[in-house]
Parts: sequence; C-alpha cells; structure tokens
Amino acid sequence: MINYTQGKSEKSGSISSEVMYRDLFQLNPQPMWVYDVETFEILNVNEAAVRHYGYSRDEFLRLTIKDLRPAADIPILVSAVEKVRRYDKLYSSGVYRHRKKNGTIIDVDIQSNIIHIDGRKAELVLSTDITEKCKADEKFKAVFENTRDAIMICDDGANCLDYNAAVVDMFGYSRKELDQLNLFDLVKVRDGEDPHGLWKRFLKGNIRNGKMHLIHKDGSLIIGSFNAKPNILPGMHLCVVTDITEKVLKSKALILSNERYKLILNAANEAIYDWDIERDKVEWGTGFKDIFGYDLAVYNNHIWSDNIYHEDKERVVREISEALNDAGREMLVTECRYVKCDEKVALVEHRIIFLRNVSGKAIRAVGSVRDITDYKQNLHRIQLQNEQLKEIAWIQSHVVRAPLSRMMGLVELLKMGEYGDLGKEEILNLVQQSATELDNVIKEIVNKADKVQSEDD
Amino acid sequence: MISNLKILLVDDDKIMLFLHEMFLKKSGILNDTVLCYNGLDALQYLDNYTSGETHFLVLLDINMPVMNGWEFLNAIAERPYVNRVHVVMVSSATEESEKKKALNYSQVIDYQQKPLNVESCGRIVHSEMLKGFFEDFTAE
Repeated sequence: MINYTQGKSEKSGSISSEVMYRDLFQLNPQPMWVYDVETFEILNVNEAAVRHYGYSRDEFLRLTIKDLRPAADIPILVSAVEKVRRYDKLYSSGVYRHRKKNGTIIDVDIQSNIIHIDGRKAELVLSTDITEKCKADEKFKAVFENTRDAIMICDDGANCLDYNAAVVDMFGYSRKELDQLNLFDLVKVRDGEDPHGLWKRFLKGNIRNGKMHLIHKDGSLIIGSFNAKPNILPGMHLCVVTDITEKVLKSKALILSNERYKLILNAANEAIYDWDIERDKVEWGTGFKDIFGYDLAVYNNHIWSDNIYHEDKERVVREISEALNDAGREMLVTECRYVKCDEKVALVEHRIIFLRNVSGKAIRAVGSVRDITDYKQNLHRIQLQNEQLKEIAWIQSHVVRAPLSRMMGLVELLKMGEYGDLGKEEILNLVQQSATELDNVIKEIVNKADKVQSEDD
Repeated sequence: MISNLKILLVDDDKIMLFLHEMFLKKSGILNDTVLCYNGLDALQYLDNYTSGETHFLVLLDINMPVMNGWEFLNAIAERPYVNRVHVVMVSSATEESEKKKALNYSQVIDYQQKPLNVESCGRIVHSEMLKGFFEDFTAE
C-alpha cells in the first residue's frame, strides 16, 4: 500500500517501496494531492502543487479541495465528487478552473483516480496547468472565426468537420445546414470531371492551390481562390477559400476596357506615353510598336525625340521645352514629321498634357502621338477638290453668264430692230461669236468636273 | 437737272458697253455717257473731274481686270465726291451673296443682272435715289 497520506499520519510498511512511492509522489513535477472523498479535506500534497498554487505545505493541508475552486464552480465540484462516491474504482478527467493562493484563476486538466487509505475513500489528483494552452486556443479560435477567408476542415470523406463564420457568410448556409454538407456540395466541378478523382488527387497532395467555382445556397456562382493542405492532423484536411468574384469580374471588365481602349487608340492611329519628368523615364504605349513599328521590348527612353524628322527636330524640342517651363501651360499641341521604324516619314500630331506640382513645375506628362499622314493627305485632296468645285461654280456664275447675257442683250436689240452703229449683220456675227464662246466655256466646265471625279475615284 | 448727272458705264466687255448704252438711250436717258473699261478708268475719270456740282450714275460691272468693281467701291469711299456717286451694280453673277455684299456699300443704290434691257433701265430711272435727276424728261 502506498502511503500517500504521510502528511497527516505516518504509518509503517515496506520501507524501500514506501520511500520509492513517496518520492514518486513528492518529487513528481506535476502538482498532485490526495483528498478525502467524504470530507473534501486535502490529505497530502506534493512539492509541485505547493510551488504552483502558492500555499505552504501546512496551509495546503488545512484546505479542502473546495478552497481550490472559484466559488461559482463549487456546485460542479460537489456534483463530480458525488459521482466519485458512487464508485469504488473510477478514473476521471476533465478541464476545470482552479484558484491559486494569490487569487489567480487558472485552467487545469485534472486526472484523478480513486484510492483507499486505511478504509477511507480518497482520490489521487494530478493537475496540469493548461492556462497558456487555453489562451493560445482562444487566440487561434478568434483568428479562425474572424478571418474573412472561409476556412473548412473536412474528414477523409470530404464532409465538413469544422468551419468558420466566413464559410457561413460566403455560402449562405446556416451552421446546422453546413454540418450536413459535403465539400462537393459547395464546389462546382467542371463538366465531365469526377469529384472523387479530384478529392483523391487532393488527398495525395497534388492540388494545393488555384481557382475554383463554388456555389452559393441561392445558386449563384462564387469565384474562389483556394489554398489547401491534406492531413493537417490525422484524417483532417484544410481548405482556405478567398472570394475573388468581384476582383475577377472587375479585372475582366478592366481587361476588356483596356482592350477596347487599345483598339480605339489603334483605330485612331494614336500612340500614347507616360513621361515621369522628374526621373526622366518614359512608359511607351503599344501604339509605338503597332503604329510606328518600334520594338518596345528593347527599352529606349528616346523613341520619340530620336526619331523626329531632322528638319523639324529643333523646332519641336524648343516648343516642348518652352511649354514645359511655362508654369501656366497645361497642354501643347504640335505637328511635325516623324520617322517610323521602317524609315518612312509620317506626319504626326503630338499632344502633351502636363501635370504640375504646387509650384507649377511639370513633374509628369501624358502625350499622344497621332499619325495624321492619311488625314492630312485626304484633307489636302478635299481642299483641292473644293477649290476646283468653287472654280466650277464661279465659272458657271460668271464665265458662262458673260457670253449668255451678251447673247440675250443682242437678241433683245434684234427684236427691237435697233442696231446702233453696228448694223444687223454685225449684231448677228456677235451673237454667233458669243454662242461659240459659251460652247467653249461649257466644254471647259465638263473637263474640270470630269477631272475632279477622276481624282476622287 | 439734266446737266448735273453724268452716266459712267464700267465694263471690260465692249459689246456689253454698247448694249447698255443702247438700252439707256431707248429708255429715254439722254445724259452724257462715259465708257470705262475697268474700275481704274472710272476712278481716274472721277478724280480728274473738276466740277463739284455734277452727280454720277455708275453702272458698274464686278469682274474686271486692273481694278474690279469691289476695289472701285472701296477706292471711292474716301474720295470727297463719294456722296455724288450713285452706283448700280450690273453683274453676270447670280449669287444672292454678291447682291447682299453690294448693297452693304452706301453708294450702291441697286443691283441688276446682265444684260440690262429697256425695262431694267426704266427701273433704274424711277428709283427713289435717282428720280430727281430724270423727272424733267422721261422720253416715252
């Protein structure tokens, strides 16, 4: 028989085994004590308990185990002890709260066993302080519950074992409903894809992260980015999902918008750039490749300035420099010739918008370079045509009407029988001359109109 | 009154000058007529005319070499005799814009399209501005 009660009454026995078991009790690094199940009195206590709870050995031996509990927990204690009283042999364990001498409340994992000492029923108690572990668990739980990412822990069959509040928010199911769900009730697998095959691959560690489509309770689609790890604990598999639906949709819209913008710029024969003036670094738009043929993979800070047509360069550089240093200037529009990569010369319109700091110094500029070669050529052609059409209109109005009005006047004279100094014969000759002149003018108009038509074709 | 009005026919087309002179006569207008072949001829005639009493009716073509009708109108605007010059534009042009432009000049009293005839000459004679010059004689 082990003499656990040596603290209150020494008994004789096998000395060597007594010493060994006393030492096992007294020198055990875990707090231990023995209490009387009927009276709650502490019959013996080891050194670790004295050290940990702050009472001296004598003080400890004057306590009951009720004194180790917060007052609120005593009914739980009494109920537990009553259970012990009903058994002769009972191993029990549980997590409880204890109070140290200084009033500090600690969480303890209690393991206990019934022993009999001189006919008295007692319990040997082993106390493990798990306060720090509980705090750590609380921290983990707080992080688990408050993270915006949905965290799910599944068993080997992909059934939901545990999940955080974000899962409830993300999928719209209550916790009760989630308890009944399998991971694949929430995942939209691609057509023809086998969910079991996917799960097996996951369990083997072949699927660690990526994007997947998930299904909300209302049937709407969620685009999720996931990180997963099988066997975080035996038979427990972790999956963390971030809802990226909005981000993906916005990103798609942005890509679409950028594509559209690029198409518009290309359609407008326009290349853009962003010039960080303070660092003298330029980001070239793809238009410089698409429209002017320059390879943007090889970075060149001077794609624009190096290729201004030599006769225009001095003027353009001067204009930009003047605009740059004019604190009140927001924009510059200039035209010049620009040498393309294939050495053809394009006529371009260059617009620059300056961004200035509070003191008016230009710190950044956004520019657009538009190939207006075709536009200018067309404009010139239209201007020429307009000139020719104006000339035709003028001829019709003036040159045609000159011989015509002359003929009308001469005919009027003939009708009146008045010939003045000229005589009838001469008047008739003049009518004929005017008719011939009119005929020639009409032929000239037809030729000009034909020429305008040919140029237009 | 008759001696106070001289008529200047200004046109580079000699046949047109002949026709207009004929129609004026047939309209009963027997005033002296002066034939000028461009605006400059007419301007020089007026500049050199010494009598300060005489008024001038100018039948003015627009498109002429040396000095066209517009240039003539601008040139006389600063001349001292400008208020004694009454201009009827006589043009082949049919554009309404030409007519509007012409009537913006204070000296221009009418705009006629070529060719003049007896009827249009009659309208000129009976215009408000010129009525006083012709009321003593209208040879019908």
